[in-house]
Amino acid sequence: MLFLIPPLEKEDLKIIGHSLSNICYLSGALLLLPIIVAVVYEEFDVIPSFLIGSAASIFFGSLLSFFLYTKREMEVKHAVVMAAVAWLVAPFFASVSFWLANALSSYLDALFESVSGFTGTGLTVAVNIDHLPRSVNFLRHFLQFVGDGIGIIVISLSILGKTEISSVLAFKGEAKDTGIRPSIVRTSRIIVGIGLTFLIIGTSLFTIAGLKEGLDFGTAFFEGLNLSMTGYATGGFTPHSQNLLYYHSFWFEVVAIILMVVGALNFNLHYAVLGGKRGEILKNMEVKILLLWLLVVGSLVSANLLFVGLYPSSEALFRKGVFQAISAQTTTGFQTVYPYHLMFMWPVLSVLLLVAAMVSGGCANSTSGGIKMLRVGMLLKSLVREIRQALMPKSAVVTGSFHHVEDTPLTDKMVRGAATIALSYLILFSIGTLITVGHGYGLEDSMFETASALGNVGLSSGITSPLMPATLKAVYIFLMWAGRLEIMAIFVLAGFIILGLRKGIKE
Amino acid sequence: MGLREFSFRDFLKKNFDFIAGILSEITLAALIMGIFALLIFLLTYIGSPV
Repeated sequence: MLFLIPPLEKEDLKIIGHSLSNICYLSGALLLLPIIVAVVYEEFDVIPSFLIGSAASIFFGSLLSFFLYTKREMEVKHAVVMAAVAWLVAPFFASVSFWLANALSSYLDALFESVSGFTGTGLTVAVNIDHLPRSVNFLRHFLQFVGDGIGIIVISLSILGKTEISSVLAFKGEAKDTGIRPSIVRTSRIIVGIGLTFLIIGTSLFTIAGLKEGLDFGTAFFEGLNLSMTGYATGGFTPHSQNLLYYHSFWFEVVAIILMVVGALNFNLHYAVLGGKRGEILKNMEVKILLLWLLVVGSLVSANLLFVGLYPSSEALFRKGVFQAISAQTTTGFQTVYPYHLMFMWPVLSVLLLVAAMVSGGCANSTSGGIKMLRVGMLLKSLVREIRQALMPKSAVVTGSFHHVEDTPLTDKMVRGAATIALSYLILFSIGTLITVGHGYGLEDSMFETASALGNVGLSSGITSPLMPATLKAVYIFLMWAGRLEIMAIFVLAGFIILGLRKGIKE
Repeated sequence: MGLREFSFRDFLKKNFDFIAGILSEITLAALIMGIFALLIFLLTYIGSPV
């Protein structure tokens, strides 16, 4: 089939490179923000590491812009490839800052932390998070907010891009593929607006909760800001190595649940609800399936934990079982259970239910990962349609539709697309699990950690640590990257490279 | 616009849909927590030895 595809032109590379330069400029500018935190907390020794990371990013962007300047507009293929490459380039420059700040044990660890941040995963290899400089800790959380929460590609193109179409296409490549509104510059502003609104709400609520738990205002505000950024981005980084368990606070967990649920909702839904269509929230097929699946997973996990006698009180069941189910389903990764409790004390059924939640994930077009509820819904609707078709006379034509902001007919193309991504996801999940098992870990732990990395979740069974084998770190970096791009963008990138190698690049 | 010109009523009126939308989304999260609280109460009630 390759002969049917036109060969690559030099102009294709220019379009991608030039768009990538915008990402580099923005990522360079964003890397300067932790300097404010460093100045406030008098951490002057780490400032050069941010400056160097930022300068390197801006310099690389300038090179791309100088050598690959073009006025031509992007097409879908350029946008998808650009998004795939951007999710490697942006973390690379942030990892330089982490590395130079001596925040992590090795450069690979710095890259792992940076990819985990940008993709909104939340798995961490930082050794002593509690004693990291606050500015470095802020950068970890900030990466999740800009990378996953509001989508750096969308912002860069809406601010620096030439036309609206650039961002529409880039948005597709970012795998938020249903497109929110025709006016995309406006859309990007709405996405940023919604993100900032929930950041303010979350920070205020966390600060109040922190004050209630006896933290001083400065600490409550700073940690609240960090937790809000990662909660809304369904990222899962926290300023402490014990994750959310550090606070031992019911109110922190309540605020976290609010942000996790809101972050897992579809941007189309946000737009409809905030625009006055409030009833949409309970009519939307994706929300219904998310709620139903969450209730099934949460109740089964709670029942299982109760009947094995692990958490006999209602409060403990809610704060451990239900919280972990919501954290897994929304692909956030906030943890209120120690990893070794999860693996050695939790019954296998509960752990596998969390794996199922992480694999299925939150809503499409949201900050969460996984296969996504919209696709699960389409596949379920298609299954029902097939059953109905089998029961009807041969001549009958059975159609299907679903409500997702508006009534939409279920087409074969939609079902095929959903099935392809779900299948690719499951294949990659199986390969990741096998590789982890091959490194000597148990099957249950391997499934859990792979689902967490690929679904951009961040819950850990304890495998992810600075001591894990370097090859496994590299595999998880790939899984986090693939999961963030919903796999298909990587196939397109691979096709692009193969095409270039086989047919060469035309002038 | 000076502070004296700011009217909270106008602000609410102008941004009603946005504010009500934010509250609906937070209510959804609260609803989920409420349903789970009820379920867990039932589970612990059924699961208790007496």
